[in-house]
Amino acid sequence: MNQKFTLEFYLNGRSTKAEILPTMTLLDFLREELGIKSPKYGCGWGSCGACTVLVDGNPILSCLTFAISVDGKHVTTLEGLGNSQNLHLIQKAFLESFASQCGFCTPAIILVTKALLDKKPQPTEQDIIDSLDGNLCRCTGYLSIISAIKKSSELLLKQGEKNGRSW
Amino acid sequence: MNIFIPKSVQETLEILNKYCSECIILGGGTLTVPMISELNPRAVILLDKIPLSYIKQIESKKIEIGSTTKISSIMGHDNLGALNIAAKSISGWAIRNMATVGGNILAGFPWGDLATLLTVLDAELLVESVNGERVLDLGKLYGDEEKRPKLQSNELIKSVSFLSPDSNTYFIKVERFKGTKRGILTIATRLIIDKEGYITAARIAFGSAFYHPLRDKIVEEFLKGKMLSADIIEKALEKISVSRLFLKDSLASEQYRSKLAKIYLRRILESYMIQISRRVT
Repeated sequence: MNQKFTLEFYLNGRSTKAEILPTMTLLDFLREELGIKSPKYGCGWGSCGACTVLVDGNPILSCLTFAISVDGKHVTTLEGLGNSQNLHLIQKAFLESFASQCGFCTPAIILVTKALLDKKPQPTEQDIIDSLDGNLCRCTGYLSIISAIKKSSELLLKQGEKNGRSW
Repeated sequence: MNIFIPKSVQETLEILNKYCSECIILGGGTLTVPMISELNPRAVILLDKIPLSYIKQIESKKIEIGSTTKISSIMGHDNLGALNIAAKSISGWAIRNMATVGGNILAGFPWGDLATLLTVLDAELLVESVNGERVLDLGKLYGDEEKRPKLQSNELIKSVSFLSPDSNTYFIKVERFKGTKRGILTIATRLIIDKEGYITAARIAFGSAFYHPLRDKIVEEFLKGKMLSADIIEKALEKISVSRLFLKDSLASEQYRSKLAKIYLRRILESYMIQISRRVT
């Protein structure tokens, strides 16, 4: 298993190149090799959604994806949205709605929110519930998360109006 | 372990032929990635780059889906009826973005929700090896152990073709806990009913209850030529035969699955009755 692959992809908008073992998962690669800690290892078999990242704008589970599969693609993690000095509006909405307690599932849910609102800027409550069907949160009971996603939609739409463009 | 990312079907077939049963094919990876380190195969083939992701109408009432088509792609198509419902019932958004149609067909217990529905739509698989193509009847692939055709280790599923699901096609997935998307029973049915209300053909399959979907040919045969009524439905439910094969797991016993089979098949057959009565009135 010493065969190494050259992986070239875009991580949070930046071109990234690395030599990797072919069976390394995207989650291990992001966390161990690149120090991207927002995707978490939860269940390891697709049940909890804590390892969710966006690939070309769509949520996927990084613990079930080999890193070589993202060759040539755009990968977005929470680190690509905002940081503690400059929060993304979705992060602000989650903060203001108290939509996070232990925080283990939160990065994944914020990314799912980003993917949902990119596709549907004004989702219905059912759209929101459907979008969360792969993400477990054992703290909040989901109601505050649903409120946060609604608030995110409002904030992003307002920002779009203010800027005279869609966000 | 050798990893291959072929760019064409031909290249894939040559690798498959070389490694055969010592090789694992990775479609979406949702079921196979966790197994790789345990199984330590000689070769792994990633199907990411082969051009088998498509959905197309091949005849007026027939659809073909490429084997690497993602489950989420099915959900975007309006004319897929019950297949849309089955696709939406599969796991979470991220999994649906990864899992493939080919993988779902081979997923096994308790997964394979699409497969249950495809079974009642008379689906056929187009498979290919270096020796050429052949067509496999999905119903037979899930049929009696002794008679069933086997998928060879050097064969690749290229596509599945099936009848377009119409208003006579039903799919129900029963979950132990609402929203978990983990089925403890799935039921798919397709009845062809003539203008007088008589059933001319029936297809009934149960999934998430055995290693593969189970068609109940005894109930199908019983319903053929009958007009649905409360009495006929009652008798049809008594004839469910495949429930003797149902398995148990941490979510449901075989008896519970058998009980659910009767409850939900009754509801579906009653829906057909309502559909027929509306048609008459």
